[in-house]
Amino acid sequence: MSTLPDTRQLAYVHYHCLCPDVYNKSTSSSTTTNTTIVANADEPITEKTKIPKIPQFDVNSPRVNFSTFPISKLYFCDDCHQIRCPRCVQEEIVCYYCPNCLFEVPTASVKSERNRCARNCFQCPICQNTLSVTASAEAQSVTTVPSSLSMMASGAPFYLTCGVCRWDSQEIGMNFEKATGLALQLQKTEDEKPDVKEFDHLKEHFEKHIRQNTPSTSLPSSLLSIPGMSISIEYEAITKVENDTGLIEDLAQLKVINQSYDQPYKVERLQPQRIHLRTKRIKRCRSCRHILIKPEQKAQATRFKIKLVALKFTKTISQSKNSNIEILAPNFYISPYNDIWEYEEPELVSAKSRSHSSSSGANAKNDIGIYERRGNYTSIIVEITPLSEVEEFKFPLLVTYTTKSYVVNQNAVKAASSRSSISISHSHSGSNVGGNVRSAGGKS
Amino acid sequence: MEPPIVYYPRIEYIETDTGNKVSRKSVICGSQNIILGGKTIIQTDCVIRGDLRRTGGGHAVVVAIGRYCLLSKGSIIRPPYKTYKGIFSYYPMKIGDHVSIGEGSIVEAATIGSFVHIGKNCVIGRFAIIKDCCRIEDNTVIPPNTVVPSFSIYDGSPGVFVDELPECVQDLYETKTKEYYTKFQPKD
Repeated sequence: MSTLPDTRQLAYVHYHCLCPDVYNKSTSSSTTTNTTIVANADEPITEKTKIPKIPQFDVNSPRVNFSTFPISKLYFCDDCHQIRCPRCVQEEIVCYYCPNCLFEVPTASVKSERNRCARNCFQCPICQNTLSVTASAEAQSVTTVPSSLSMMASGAPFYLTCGVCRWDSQEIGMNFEKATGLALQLQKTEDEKPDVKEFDHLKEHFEKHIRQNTPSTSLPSSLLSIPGMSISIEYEAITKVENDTGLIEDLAQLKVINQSYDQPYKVERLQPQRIHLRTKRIKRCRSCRHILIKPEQKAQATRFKIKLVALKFTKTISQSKNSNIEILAPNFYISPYNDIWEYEEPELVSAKSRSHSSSSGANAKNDIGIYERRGNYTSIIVEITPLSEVEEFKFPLLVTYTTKSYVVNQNAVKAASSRSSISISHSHSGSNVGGNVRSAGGKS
Repeated sequence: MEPPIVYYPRIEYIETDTGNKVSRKSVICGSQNIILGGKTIIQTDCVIRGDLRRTGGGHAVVVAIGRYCLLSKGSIIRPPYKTYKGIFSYYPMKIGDHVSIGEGSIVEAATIGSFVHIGKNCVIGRFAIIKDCCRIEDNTVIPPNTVVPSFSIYDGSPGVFVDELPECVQDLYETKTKEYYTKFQPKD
């Protein structure tokens, strides 16, 4: 099963999300390269009587790479009964935390701390590694007996060192009296930096402008929506950029690109940077505002209060081998998920089980080209014969399904003993399919 | 793509009561100080240094490894060391459940959480802390004392944050390690 966006794999399955802006404008191009199956798994849920509208889907479109995702990146909105991709979810920040010390930062102080950790976490200006605090006194007395504890406890002055590139803050003459609260000790120097000053001045300037031009109630003081930006706003810079002629040549020699856009200065002027905060985010469906992902508030917790990921709700399609594509079964049906099958033996597929078929008489006519049918999955044979040697081969695959709410049939499920009362039924009219198609249980 | 069944010669591996599969061709030092949670695979040419224990008495556990872990061929697990207050000492290492360590990787971390994937030829520096649900790409060097927060992908030398992992990574890695264990079968 292709799970993570690992393009080095020989074969992978990506799912296409029907974000409206994508499939309307799909244009064709020619490049194809790697065996790919692009499954068109997102479908508006319709009653069985209605034939779902099949959107135009062009595998060769250059947009395909941006509109198809591995199943691990997709969500499932159980209100809309649709797949949601990272482009059609809305994010909301739940909490900010430092990725190094893992301390949560209250939302109120994030802005004043400039989205960076206000504790002891610093990044090396050369290699972006986390810096560690070293006591200069201890450095000299490594071999002394532990009786000189009091001397080491003071250990001042302290400085920051990088364990990777051996940069240390003494190079730029930066020393600390205490080993804790380093950010606070540095705050004064940081506030005096020309770029910080300039930014604060700019912010102040625009905020004043917003206050003057808008009724105070209607707009938040967001810098993103400055009204009347078309009217020129007079602004005078408070800091003057020094005319450093050699700087550009120096920057051109920098090996690490990150370094040049973070701090475009010579090495002697590079400052350690406080580490950027990271966020935990709620993800909502764009159309119904239903929450799809809700992480726990605590910075260190990895669990989710709400987690509606597509992996649990939709069919997964996987490939067992690289092969030529020729689908022998143009249409086939995949049995729905049933709790009873959960206790089946782990599926170690061997050639011996080839003949195994649990399909009833109604499905028997579709059995040509079906490799195996077992539980809630169906393996089909796919033969691919490329006309010429290509680096990558893609083919589309349409999977349609209907979902019945679990709640509706709950009573039936409890009493379920046969296949006739199944909680979720999927009907499939697949056109081209590769490998294994498996239906998953939708639990609401 | 579904992983193939991996066969190993039956005589090469010892299977414990709890389902751990340990290669006879691996080097396990100080096995009394090593805990394996069960259904963990230790492949050919792995080295686990359980003999590098804390100076002084007490605290016998040096390396604790959880369930469904995989130490691929040639990986090295070595407890981290430092000189603290003038005394050189090794410190215990803890590895969670569903952790896979790629071929030829060297691990000297203090803690590795659960649901972690470490690629091939990685170096995990001394006292690094890797939280739950992380992915370290192939050939990454995680410097000493680094903290890798949950749901991150680290890559490069020195390893830096490159991307976030999706929310369902826990389920993915759990299925992957369990599947690997079931498909790691003896053949005579």
